[in-house]
Amino acid sequence: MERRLVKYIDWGILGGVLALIGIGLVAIFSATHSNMALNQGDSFYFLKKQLFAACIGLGLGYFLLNLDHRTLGRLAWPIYYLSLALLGAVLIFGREVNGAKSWLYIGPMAMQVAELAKLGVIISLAQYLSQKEELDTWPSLFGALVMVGIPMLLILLQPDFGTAMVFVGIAFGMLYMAGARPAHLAILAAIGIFVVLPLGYFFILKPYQKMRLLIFLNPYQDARGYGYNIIQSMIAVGSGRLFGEGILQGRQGQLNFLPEHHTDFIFPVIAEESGFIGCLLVLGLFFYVLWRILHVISEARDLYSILICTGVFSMFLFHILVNIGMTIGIMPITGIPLPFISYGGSSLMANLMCVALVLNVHMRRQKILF
Amino acid sequence: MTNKQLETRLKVFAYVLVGIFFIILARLWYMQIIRGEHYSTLAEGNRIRRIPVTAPRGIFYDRNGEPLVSSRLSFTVSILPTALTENREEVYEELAEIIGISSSEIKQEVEKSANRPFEPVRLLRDASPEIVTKIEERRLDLPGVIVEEMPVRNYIYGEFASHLFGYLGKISEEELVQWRDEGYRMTDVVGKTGLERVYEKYLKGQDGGEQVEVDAAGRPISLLGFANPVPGNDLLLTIDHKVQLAAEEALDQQLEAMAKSKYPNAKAGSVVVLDVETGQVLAMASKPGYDPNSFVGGISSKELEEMLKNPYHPFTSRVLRVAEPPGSIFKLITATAALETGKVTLHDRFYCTGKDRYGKRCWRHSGHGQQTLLEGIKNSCNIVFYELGRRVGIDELARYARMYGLGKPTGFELPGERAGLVPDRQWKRENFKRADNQIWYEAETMDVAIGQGALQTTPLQMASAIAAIGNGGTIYRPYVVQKVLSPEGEELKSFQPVATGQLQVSPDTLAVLRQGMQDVTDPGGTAYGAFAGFPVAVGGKTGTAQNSQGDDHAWFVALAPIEDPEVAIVVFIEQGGSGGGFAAPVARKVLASYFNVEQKEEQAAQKASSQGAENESDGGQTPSQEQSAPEEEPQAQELPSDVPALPPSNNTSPEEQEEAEQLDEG
Repeated sequence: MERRLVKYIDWGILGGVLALIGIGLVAIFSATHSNMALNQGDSFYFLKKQLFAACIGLGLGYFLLNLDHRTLGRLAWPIYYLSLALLGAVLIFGREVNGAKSWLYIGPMAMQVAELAKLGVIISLAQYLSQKEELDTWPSLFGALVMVGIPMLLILLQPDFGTAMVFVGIAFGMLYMAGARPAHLAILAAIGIFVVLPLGYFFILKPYQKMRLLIFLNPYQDARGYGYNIIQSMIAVGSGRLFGEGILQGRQGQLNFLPEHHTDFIFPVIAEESGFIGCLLVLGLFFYVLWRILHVISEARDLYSILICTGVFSMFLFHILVNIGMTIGIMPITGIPLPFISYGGSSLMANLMCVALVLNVHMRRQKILF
Repeated sequence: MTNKQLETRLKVFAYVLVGIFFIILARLWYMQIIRGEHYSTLAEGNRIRRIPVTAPRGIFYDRNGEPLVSSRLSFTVSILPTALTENREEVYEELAEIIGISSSEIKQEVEKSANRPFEPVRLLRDASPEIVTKIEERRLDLPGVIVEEMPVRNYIYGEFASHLFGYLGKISEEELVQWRDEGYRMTDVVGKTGLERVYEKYLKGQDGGEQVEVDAAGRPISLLGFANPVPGNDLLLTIDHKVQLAAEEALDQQLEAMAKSKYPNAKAGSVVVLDVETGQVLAMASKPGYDPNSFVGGISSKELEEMLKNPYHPFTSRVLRVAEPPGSIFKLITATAALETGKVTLHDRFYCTGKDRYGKRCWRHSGHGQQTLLEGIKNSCNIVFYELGRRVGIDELARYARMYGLGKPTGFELPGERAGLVPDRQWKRENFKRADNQIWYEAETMDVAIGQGALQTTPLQMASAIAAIGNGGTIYRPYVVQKVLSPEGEELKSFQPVATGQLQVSPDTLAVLRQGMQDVTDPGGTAYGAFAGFPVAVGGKTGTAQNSQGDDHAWFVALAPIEDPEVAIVVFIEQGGSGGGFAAPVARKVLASYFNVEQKEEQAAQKASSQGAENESDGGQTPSQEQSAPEEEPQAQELPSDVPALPPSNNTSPEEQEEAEQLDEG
């Protein structure tokens, strides 16, 4: 990498992200070290795997930093079709885990292709939108909606409702930033909430997904079954109080009352063990990183760069809101990970690549004079 | 895009960012700081499970300190709802196969206690070791199924004073609502009837518990605390184990033997033995009965249904819940009234031709010839007592009957005691609509005088009344619990004899009655056959009460030893045909046990007595002949139309249908 560029790296973002990954590693260890059935007898099993994924992710990020992100922009369409191909492949060759075909196995490697697809869609949509002359009429929105709609549909077929919804968040953020009229976006949102959701609820959602939505409204109506997760999660968060029970001391997490507490429900583990103070730290780091991304946007030199960062920003914010929101009972359970913290290699790697894109934008914000 | 536009949009993004983080932090503040304690408590409740340890119920001791009802350890198969996994349906299926309860029933039980997932749902109490072994073997296939070791009730002698002891059953919803404040839980077993019910609060004890740290699967990780259960309080009863056993056996044997006699309908009966000086119940048996142990493991509905369908009501204590005409045993009370009101002296002579001038018959159709009062008692001559009843009148007769405690419950500890009935003028006025039915007829007085008509007494009332004859005139309330003792033996409650009445009767009168009773078991008396050769002098009175529903009821009451009575006994056999023939022999066996009459001695004596009975039969005044009397008497020709004192034949009162011939024998 060119020396000149290195000094333009936004160390704040990188530092914040690394700190979040570090917190995530501790939380993952805490959540899994005593669960022998899950960790196959190795207390550090998940920690090591996550650390490995982080390294790969950083390596990939480093690789991306060396590319001018505009190079990726030129490859937007191949990237887009590759994303669709992966999403299609997972539906055909994917292995079903927990009722959804999300995993594609290539040799010994397994990846959740939807995580990569998010990155692909951000890049290609940014390129597409940055080329549009105008976005303030309905027909001008159409192309973008189709572009986002196809991968969403493929992900819904897995089915993975939560990840599909992330695309909505990404699309809305990018469209707004690209100049779509707020009124149009509001109408689209209204259609989504009042037409598509009810239709989906009655014709597409599986019973367990319906149940999750209903349980969100009143978790205690099925405290032993579907409501169990949300109740246990809230107990864990609440019982952390100000200072928490201490690292590795959380009662809910350590005794496995919390479900999936190294992946989707990692936040309650942190909340229980480190209390409000710990939550403040995590949220502070997230806020700082996101705030810096907005700063990167403000200094970006072209619309394409702006839209890349906007997509990444929207995606992170959506993940944080929905993931933490579900653990504290203000969002329905949708099962999407908390960026950098939840255990999951594909997600971590994809997120690190997203960060690399943002850093890339920041590094190359000024015209570089040779 | 202009810089201004970008700035505006960036602002919007910043607002959204700040807004979302503000909401999340506010929510976290609320949950962790404001409601933190609440959630912390919930987490504690999640982690720490209190596994109840059932306290053993109090023990029933007989008067000599011998345990009659205790507790033993047993295995209970339960399901811990929190520990159930996704495959619960399979677990139900598999478990159903092992314990023989259908999987749908198991499911239902588990769902019933859905709001208390930490409490074990008890499915099979007192499981056999084979079942326990099977479950242990398939442990891994049965997550959520646990085997608890807990004490269960042990009725040591099975069907033994079962009506007195009562039985246990799962707490009902109403009971739970009523007793919840006293620490009762849905999984509890409580006394349903008898002493188990009446003394429930004393017997229950206090359940202990283990505080166990568990993981999400409900698996215990470590024991945090243990609270020992406090056993229930014990009851020291007045029951004498030996006498009770004799009563149970004698009654059983007699009813069994009677199935082949001419009174095959005799399927039910009761025995009660009282200490005359205190009213303490030494024995109290009722047949048919049941084995309360069969309720311990949870009785099958089929079994229960069968018992409930039994026309002889095995759950009904015939000592206190059956009130029937006492028949001739009431003659003792008629005699009391006549002597006390001066309507008769010991020298008065009566003459029995087998029929009086109104056409009322003596049980002995050939007549007893000339009779004194004492001979009237000895022979149970109806003619004598018709006359005495006529002389005394219903008002005095009823007064004395009530003085003996008849017509109202004795006040015994168990609920459901019948009051019986002492009919009199007022009763007729109050219970009959038509004016001519409200009139008290002299014929009715005469019926009451021989223990018939509308008169009804329970065996327990009669026992208490007879005891008063033996103790100089005090009516004691029968009772069966002497003391409530703590498990350490400390006396928590003590019950003293309670006199509920005093006979306003001279000692001479009581002496006459006892003399009369003694004569009954002497040669020539109506119970001589049953007591011939018995080493203790017993004073008795036989009764055979007419029963419109079937064969006559057999009664026998006795005091022993008659010269200084210790115990009063009443034997009552429904449709037993003859008091002297079938009830008295039961009393003999029971008294033999009370007086420790040696088995051999008793066998020899009984042989002699049966010979005696045969001899008597030759002599023309025997139980067997007496037994035949009611049958020989045609029921229809009872009301000679020329009797002025008799009520009109269209009378609707039930007692009149049977009033005509009070065929009574000794």
